[in-house]
Amino acid sequence: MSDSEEEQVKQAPIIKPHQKQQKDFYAEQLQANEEADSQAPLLVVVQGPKGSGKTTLIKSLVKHYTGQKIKKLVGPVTVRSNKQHRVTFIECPSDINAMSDLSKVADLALIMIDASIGFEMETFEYLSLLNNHGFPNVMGVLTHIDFFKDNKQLRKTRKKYKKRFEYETGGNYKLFYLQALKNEYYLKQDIHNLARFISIIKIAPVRWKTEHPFVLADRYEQGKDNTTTFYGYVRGCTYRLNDRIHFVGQGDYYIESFEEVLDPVEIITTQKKHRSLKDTEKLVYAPMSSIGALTIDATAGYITIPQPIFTEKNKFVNQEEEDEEEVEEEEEQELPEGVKMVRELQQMTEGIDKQLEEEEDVQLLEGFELEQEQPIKNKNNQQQIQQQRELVRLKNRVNIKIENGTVLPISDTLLATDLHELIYQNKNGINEFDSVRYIPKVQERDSYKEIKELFVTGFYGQSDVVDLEYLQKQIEEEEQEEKQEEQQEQEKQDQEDKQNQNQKEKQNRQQLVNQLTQSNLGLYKKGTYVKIVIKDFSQQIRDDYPMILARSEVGEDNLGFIKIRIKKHRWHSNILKSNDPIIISLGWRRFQTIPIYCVQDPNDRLRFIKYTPEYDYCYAIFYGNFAPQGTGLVCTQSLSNKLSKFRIAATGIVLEMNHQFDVMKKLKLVGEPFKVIKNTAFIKGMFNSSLEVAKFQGGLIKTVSGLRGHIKKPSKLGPDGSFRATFEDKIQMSDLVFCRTWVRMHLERFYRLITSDVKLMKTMWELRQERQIPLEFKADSAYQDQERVPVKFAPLRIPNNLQQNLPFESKEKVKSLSFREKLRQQVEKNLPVKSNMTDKEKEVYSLIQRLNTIKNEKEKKREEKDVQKQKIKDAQFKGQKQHLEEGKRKYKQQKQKEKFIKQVKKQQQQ
Amino acid sequence: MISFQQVINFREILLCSTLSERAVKIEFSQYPGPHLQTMLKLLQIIQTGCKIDVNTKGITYIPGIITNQDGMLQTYNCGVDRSISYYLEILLVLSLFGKAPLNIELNGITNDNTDQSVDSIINAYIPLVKKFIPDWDVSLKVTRRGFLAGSGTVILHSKPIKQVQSISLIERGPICKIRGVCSGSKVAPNLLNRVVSQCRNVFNDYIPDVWIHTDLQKSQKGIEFQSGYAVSLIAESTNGLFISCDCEYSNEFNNPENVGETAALRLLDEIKNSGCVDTTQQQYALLLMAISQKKVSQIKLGRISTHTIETLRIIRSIFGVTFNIEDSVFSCIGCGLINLSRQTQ
Repeated sequence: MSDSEEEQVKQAPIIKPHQKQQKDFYAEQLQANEEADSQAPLLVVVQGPKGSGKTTLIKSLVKHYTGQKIKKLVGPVTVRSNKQHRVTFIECPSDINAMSDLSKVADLALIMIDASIGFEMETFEYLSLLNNHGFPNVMGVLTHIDFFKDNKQLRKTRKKYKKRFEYETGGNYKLFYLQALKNEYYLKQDIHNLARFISIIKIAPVRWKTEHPFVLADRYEQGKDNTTTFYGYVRGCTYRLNDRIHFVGQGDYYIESFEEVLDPVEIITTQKKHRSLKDTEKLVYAPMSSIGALTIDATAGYITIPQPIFTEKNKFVNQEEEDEEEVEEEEEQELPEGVKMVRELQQMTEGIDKQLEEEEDVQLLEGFELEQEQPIKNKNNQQQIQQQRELVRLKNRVNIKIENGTVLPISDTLLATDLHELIYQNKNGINEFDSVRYIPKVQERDSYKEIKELFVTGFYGQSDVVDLEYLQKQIEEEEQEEKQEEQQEQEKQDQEDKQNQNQKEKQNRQQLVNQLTQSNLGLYKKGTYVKIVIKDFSQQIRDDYPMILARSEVGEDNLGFIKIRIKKHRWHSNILKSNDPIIISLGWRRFQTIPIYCVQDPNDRLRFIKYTPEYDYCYAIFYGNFAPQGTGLVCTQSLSNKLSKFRIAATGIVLEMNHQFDVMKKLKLVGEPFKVIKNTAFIKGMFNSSLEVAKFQGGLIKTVSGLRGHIKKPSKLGPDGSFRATFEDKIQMSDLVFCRTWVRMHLERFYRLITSDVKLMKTMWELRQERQIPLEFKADSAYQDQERVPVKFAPLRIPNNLQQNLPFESKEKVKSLSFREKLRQQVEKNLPVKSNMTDKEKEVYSLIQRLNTIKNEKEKKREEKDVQKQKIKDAQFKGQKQHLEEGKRKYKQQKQKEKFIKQVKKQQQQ
Repeated sequence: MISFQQVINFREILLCSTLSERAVKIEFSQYPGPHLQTMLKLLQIIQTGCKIDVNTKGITYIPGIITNQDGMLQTYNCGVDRSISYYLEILLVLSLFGKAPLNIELNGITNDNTDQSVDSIINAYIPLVKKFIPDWDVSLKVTRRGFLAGSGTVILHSKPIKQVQSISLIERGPICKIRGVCSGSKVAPNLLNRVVSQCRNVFNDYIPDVWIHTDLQKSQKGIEFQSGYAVSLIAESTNGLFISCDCEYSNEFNNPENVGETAALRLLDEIKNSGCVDTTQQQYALLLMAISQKKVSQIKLGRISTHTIETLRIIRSIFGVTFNIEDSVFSCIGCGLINLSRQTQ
């Protein structure tokens, strides 16, 4: 950003309104968080402008965690950071679509800043995207620090960047500095620090995410019949199975199957002495990028290589002694089938296709059971349930028929599991009775005697009062001392009990949640690794884009009008126009729609405005997908990736949803009088027919001069549509008459989901540019030069009749001037030049004058000096800037030279 | 669009559909009756953007947003086909998810043989809903009694809320109070006292704290009242849970002693066989649990009525909430329904 904007930065960080809301939300959320013991991998989005070192950072972090080197980075990378904690890294492209999608899902955003260039536009765009989609944790990473050779300059720039970053993130930030590269990776110490902070971070709950589960797909496979399979972790919150899913940026699809599969980077639950990870436990899962991982089959899963166990050790580990080889042989027998196979494949001389030609029956997967294929859902639990069911059926082959008015008693004959089946699987008699109240079938009166124990009388829970008060007192005095001691002990115990109880409650709640998620009701806890098969998916998937499969909540699939509070972004260059299509990113969806901007009058009327205000909030109403109130949204005007101007046009918040809004536009009807009789006037030109007049009978009208009146009745005089009106005073023929009315604006039902092959609606301006259509010229709207003749009023003439009645003094002919007027005339004629000063006073006056001139002279000189000083300062500052630019240029030249030399050397070697 | 085939029980489907704002298609196995039209008209009154298509086979219902006519007082005639409480039961739930408070005057039958009485709704149904929404601002008043011909009037005022909270009702606790309302119109005042005394006669073996009010409709000019009387009994437990039951004058129970004894025995039967909620209202408790916030809620039920089973099926097909049943405790994680029509500034 330019220097002028950086100067605007204020000292104290501002707490923005959304963050205030967020704070209130934390308290609620903490309670809910208890109920989810398993966490999905921490999603770290690495964002930054081109060349700021995003890929290098992810590569070095992966190397730090696992020791693996990623050759080509595509899609998300999941690593195990410690036994309980997993981290997923994903790189954010600078495309506005991907940026807005990834700002919605991020748990932590690493914002890369090139220190040699400074803050770039993408950084600010991404920050404001994060701001409006709920603010997750943010960390800034300054790279290219080695650009600054001068230590003092480095310190200064660091401070400057820190201040700016603090302002933008509202004080909730952390800024890291990454020094030079070493062997294409960042320095070990720097990365170690960063990794530590990533692993200890407390995730700030984002409202949208905690209510909307989603899956960020690790990988996908396109099968036959347009079915596509996606794999990924359930994130956000517990996933409730639904028949539909929304592929962000592609549209809604029906799910064919949704099942839990083996987690590639499992949490290690077994408790062992060592807290740190073994080398075998260090895992990286990046199916789309190339680490040398091996994919076996389309549906069966994959093999990741944490260690080179797939290659035979003695091939390249020659230094080891012979004793160890024996051990290896033993190990080889215990090796899993997959590893054996790969080793066999490595030893093969011929390709599989050639072998296939030779032999007809080649069993590729000999003795290899694809266990991963089966969904794992607590086999033991299911078996138990089935056994129970069978037992029940054997015991009493109850053939329950549901009839109107019957009830199902829960007793020994009907187990809960069977009831579950009866309700949800048995189709017997669904919805065949109209709802009525249940009328119990009454038995004989005596048969209810047994329930007497269900009743209670008197002071339930309280002990009876002792009658002998005297005795009681005596005993009390004796017991008081003992009681005090007991009380103290009890208080201690109570506290302990409370703590225990709280823990127990937590555990109980957790057990309940676990019970529900494990009991096969279509619930998937967050953190489970799932496989989703989607039908009829014909879109092409871009690997470098995030694949987010999201579930929208009840009612959020619906379309309707949404009222939002909107503000044009302060850095967007132009204001927004009503009825111009705009792209809105709201909830999971991005869509193009046509908004109407309005403001609210004091009487709650929504008044149409043509353009958004420059610096103020206004309301907007558009047709779109419903989202809960308080959801943030971001508007853009186009999807192009040109960085010529700030891409985020406006930001807003959802206020209200409805299927109909009354947005009114002011309409002034103008008429002119053609006949005036006292307070009555006949007006033409306002309406076209007497029918129209009839509709407006009794309406308020007003002249330009401010006289108010009513529309009375259509008149037969004059052209059609003229009417009679009365005013509070006689109006003039030259006056114009206005009738102020309100017209309901038509709200456009236009909605287009943004997919990869969407054709966007164009704005009028774009169409005009494209087809070279000039603006319509309306002769009426053009300004005309008006020549106004100064009004010449006739001289005041007092009627003779009146003059006669006037008092003698006021008569025109003999009108004598008042004393004051006489005095004024005298003063005007000859101003008195009379000095009242004495000689002494004169001296004082002259002295003051002289002193003043001295003072003025001094001030003049001082100002001149200040100007000169300022000039020197400016010159110094310019010199600094030039020096800096020179330094940059030299740095680049040096780098180029180094590169060139390297290339030459390489060529020479070759 | 979710389709239901071979259906008569349209009310719960329409309720769930309106709450979730998901369109439904219902095919009837037989025409339910004129109360279908009354119900659809009522739904249209309180909503905007609602589209209903009725034909001979069934209806297509696209719900809109519940605006309650911006809180204006409306009057609606519920007809004589079903009683007012048939509509009140779902109207109370729908009013929770409105834009403005619901102010409505309903005319029709207050006590009849097929639905629970308005008194049971006031004394048992509303306290049940209040378990889910502790600070719910609601008032329901009976201004006039109506038997059979439907000259009764009820005024409902209910404020919308943001979200339904989760609950955990496992223990009912022993019954400590029995309350009731014995209402009648165009009958001798003595008759109601005879009903009350007969009720007391039954309860005397169990509990002394019995208090049954009598409410006799006074004659008003220009309004024709039908004769009839009914009693609504409510048992309150120490944990603040209510169990209700009703009994009306009919051909079967045609003398006051008979009505009183049947009512009392029915209440005893309910106390014996039901859990934390009585058999009639258990389906609404389960529905509220399904739409509550995303936490575990659980409730202990006794016998399960067939209507509850139907409602559970409807809940699953519309909200996707399946209940876990273990030892007559129904538990689920709510779907976290948020009042989307609410107004914010």
